[in-house]
Amino acid sequence: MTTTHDEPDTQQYPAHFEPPHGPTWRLFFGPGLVRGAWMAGLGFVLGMLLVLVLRAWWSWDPVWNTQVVLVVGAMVVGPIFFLAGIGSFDYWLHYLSGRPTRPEDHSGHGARTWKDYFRVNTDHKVIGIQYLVTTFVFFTVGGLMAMFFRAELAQPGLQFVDSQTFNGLVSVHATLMIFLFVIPAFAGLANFAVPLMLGAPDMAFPRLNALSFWLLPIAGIMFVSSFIAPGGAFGAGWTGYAPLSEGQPLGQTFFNMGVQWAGASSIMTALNFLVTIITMRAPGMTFWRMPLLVWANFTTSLLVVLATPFIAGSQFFVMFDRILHTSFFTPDGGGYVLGYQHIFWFYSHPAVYIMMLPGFGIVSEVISSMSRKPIFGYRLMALSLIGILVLGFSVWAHHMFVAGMADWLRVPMMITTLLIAIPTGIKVFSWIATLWRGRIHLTTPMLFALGFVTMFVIGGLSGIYLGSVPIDIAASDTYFIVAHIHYVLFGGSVFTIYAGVYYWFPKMTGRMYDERLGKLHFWLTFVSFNATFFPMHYIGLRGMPRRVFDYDQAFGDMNLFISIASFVLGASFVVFVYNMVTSWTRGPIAEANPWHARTLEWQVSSPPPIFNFDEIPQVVGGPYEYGVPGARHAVLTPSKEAKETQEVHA
Amino acid sequence: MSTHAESLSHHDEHHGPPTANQSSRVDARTLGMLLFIGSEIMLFGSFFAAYFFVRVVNPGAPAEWPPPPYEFPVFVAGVNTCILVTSSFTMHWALQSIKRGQRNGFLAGMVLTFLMGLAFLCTQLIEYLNVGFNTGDGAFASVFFGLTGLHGAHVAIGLSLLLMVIIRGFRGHYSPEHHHGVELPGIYWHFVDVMWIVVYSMVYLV
Amino acid sequence: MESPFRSEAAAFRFLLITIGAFALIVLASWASTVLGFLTFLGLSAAAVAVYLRQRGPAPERERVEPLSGPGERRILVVANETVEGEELLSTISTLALSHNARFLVVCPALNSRLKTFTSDEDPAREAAQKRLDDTLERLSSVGIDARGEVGDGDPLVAIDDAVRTFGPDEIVISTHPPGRSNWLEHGVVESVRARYDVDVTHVVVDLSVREGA
Repeated sequence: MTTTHDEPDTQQYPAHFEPPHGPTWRLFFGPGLVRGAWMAGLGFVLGMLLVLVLRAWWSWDPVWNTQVVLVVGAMVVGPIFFLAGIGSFDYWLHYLSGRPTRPEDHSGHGARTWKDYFRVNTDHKVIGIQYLVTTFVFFTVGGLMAMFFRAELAQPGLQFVDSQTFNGLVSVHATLMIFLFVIPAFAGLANFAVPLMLGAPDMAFPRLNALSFWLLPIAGIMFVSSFIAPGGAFGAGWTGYAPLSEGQPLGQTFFNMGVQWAGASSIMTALNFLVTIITMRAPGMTFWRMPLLVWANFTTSLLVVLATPFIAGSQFFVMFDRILHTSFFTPDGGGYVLGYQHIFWFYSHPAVYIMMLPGFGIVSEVISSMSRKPIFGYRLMALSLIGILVLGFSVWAHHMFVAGMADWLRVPMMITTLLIAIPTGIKVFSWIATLWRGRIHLTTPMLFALGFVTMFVIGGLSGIYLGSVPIDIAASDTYFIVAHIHYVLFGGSVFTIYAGVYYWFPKMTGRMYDERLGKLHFWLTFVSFNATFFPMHYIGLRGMPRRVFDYDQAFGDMNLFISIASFVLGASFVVFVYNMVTSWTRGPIAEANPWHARTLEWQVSSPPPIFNFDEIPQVVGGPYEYGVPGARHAVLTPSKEAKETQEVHA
Repeated sequence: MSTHAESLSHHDEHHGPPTANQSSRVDARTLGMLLFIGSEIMLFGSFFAAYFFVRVVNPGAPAEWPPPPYEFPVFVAGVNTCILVTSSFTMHWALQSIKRGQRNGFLAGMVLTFLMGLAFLCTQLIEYLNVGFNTGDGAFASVFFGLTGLHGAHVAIGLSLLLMVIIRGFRGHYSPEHHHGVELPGIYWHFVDVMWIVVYSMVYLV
Repeated sequence: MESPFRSEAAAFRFLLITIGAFALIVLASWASTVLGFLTFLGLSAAAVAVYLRQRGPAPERERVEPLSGPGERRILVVANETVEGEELLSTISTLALSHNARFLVVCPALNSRLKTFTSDEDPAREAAQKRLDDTLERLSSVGIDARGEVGDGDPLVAIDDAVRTFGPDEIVISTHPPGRSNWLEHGVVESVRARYDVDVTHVVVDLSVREGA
């Protein structure tokens, strides 16, 4: 997308700028992953030298401090140099130097070959796919960790790993799933779909979008590489409570810093979405005509921008306490230990809505088009998203009912927690009412959407139980919580991610996935998921604590059953991967609108043209008016691509 | 990817993207700066929350803040406040100048703003070295270094933005019609100043 | 007090106000902590109140690109309950006689506020469609070939949709008499005149007169 140059260009380079160097030079010194790799190393060395020089100059003893060297070298300077190496700062550095701006030649936009997916690319469609593939890689890693510790938990006692490694597996599993899978996978799906749905040629800040993506693998590598740190991976849970996290070995710092990179990625993306949604809607697309996926991403992005800085703050304080010996959370120096939990949960509760609202949007899209019916109560669906956004900031202390906080805070937090069930309930009833008397097509995305509705209701019900202080006092930190978490995060978020991936797969790849494999994937997943997590409600209430590597003999049989079920769940993922890979490479060519949906992304070819639209569409109605006589969502000039695609499938 | 989509997209490249519709009177980059400032305000919020916890909520908090024998350098920081506020005035003057086409006034204002910002940071550094306590000396010190340090980091970011403007300004990129690239760093700089007023009041005075 | 984010000048003014406000807060807190906190709350509330009350700059007038062919005059007619009114039909007939006119009749599917928020639009759409069909039939019976559409429930949105897709040379808005017209209460005609650079004719239809007769 051309930037509006607000300064007169005093000199211009030709439009198709030919680089002056050969391919080998460009491989090592041109922007790309190779240059990113060696520049990362260079950055680490420079950071290390900086630390050593400063420490020697100030006569600190000892001059070598592994933690400080790692933080500065490997976790700050190294990644920055990596980003510079791949070329994500090129435009801004050029701008900063004040040299004449090059006219936009769009060479960094769009994917013509698979190699373009490994570069800094400004096309939101490419970035969306980059996000999805990267997040599913981390989903695999996190899932393997889960199966590993489920193998350990199959029987009481320690069989395979020591306690610190076990804690590390559990902690890194959760951290990867939250920061490297659920949150960015939704960002990826939205990145692909939202600009198309808005009738925009791209996001508001395409270069920022590209940068946001590349921050993500940095965070993932940081979390995973904590396993090789002396002392092992961070083992204080994804929640990293002080004072435990402050006394942990070096691996904890990998968590502290990884969260910062993931958080920065998240905030930049959210900022981009907000500006895009506010300023780049097609003519006639009022807020009340936006698809619900857009509404969902709008509210999610508000949550991200406002809440994420709090987790950044909490991890800064832990690092300061560890490295600079401050007393934010150390009582000896006057710190307030519980402050960590307040600050942490002030983000992490909205985080769970960040991990769910986009899923709500996806489900609305899928259920509406697959039932051939308008969404029931569209305006209230949008308003309920806002209700969840507002209320979501008022419930954080329900994670702290047994933490020793002020007693008077518990009941108000209980009330606000129970109140959130109202907007959520509006959504559930609305989906059911949308299905009512619809012409239902049980395709794979629809199966996942329906599976989501049912599983999320179960997870929501256990949430209602937990929102009541007396029950939470008994159930806190038991497997009942683990069950609740996974019903809302797996049965909730992951199911909607699957629904979204299947739903937009034809649009993204131009090919259709295999429907039978899709259904097989769904049923295997659905059954094994329930087999894995439903029994956890029971053992939790019977008293099995969470985050333990050993437990009472009485829970042995159930744990064995759960572990076996979890292996089946892991195996079901293989069906998905196989389907995705084979369909993407060899699947049947998909038409522009295989679901006959009405939102704008389906009115262009599959995959969409490089700049989305020949002409910006004119929106003249709502996006869900199935079966309403004479209703249109938009008027488009028929693009050459759509016509040709139709001819192919006439 | 199918080849037919490739050949079609190659055709499109030469046209470039269609111009997006502007669905709001708010300028996109200004809105982006607003949201960025919003998230930075929330980051400061988390630091103020920590301050609130260790000073107000903590039952063992000392009655006097900072606890004796420590003192905050209120006067030095006060001078620093004057420097920063003056730099906002020069920033404003710089923008008024470029809007009127007075290039010399614009450049002078920008350079003065930058120098004063730099002076602020240097003063803060000297203050840190002479303040009489270290990060490990207690919660009051943690909050002091945390909040002023976070603010200092934001001054540094602001200085890089100002430097960008100065470099481009000297190369002649701004005019009365085109100065959006000065406006946004200007907004950011004023917010750094606003944040300092809040930090100074809450940390040193209250 | 303009939003401090809209421009650098606004941000500078906000800085000056903040200095004053915090001077007050610090002084109050030296008197008593509670007083300081209350001053802070009070000043913040006042700032929010002032900000919410101010209006942004007025939007520019939009240039409408008429899509009419040579010699043709495209006329957009907007009416809901008044669509069958005699005054409106006679205005349309007059226009049809004096120009080579092409008409688009838009009937916004007006709905009650509650039903709009509960998305209960079907009855309103059906009612508007029925009125529209009757009107189009009447028009064609006197030889006027008009197209018709049921529009969005908000008349301004319905008009905007039609302006963008139909590209009219003229807009005719028909309302109830002042005092009985919801549209006039909300300044629909003025808004349309201010927003687009096409001629806007306002027809007042008094349905009660016809019923009485």
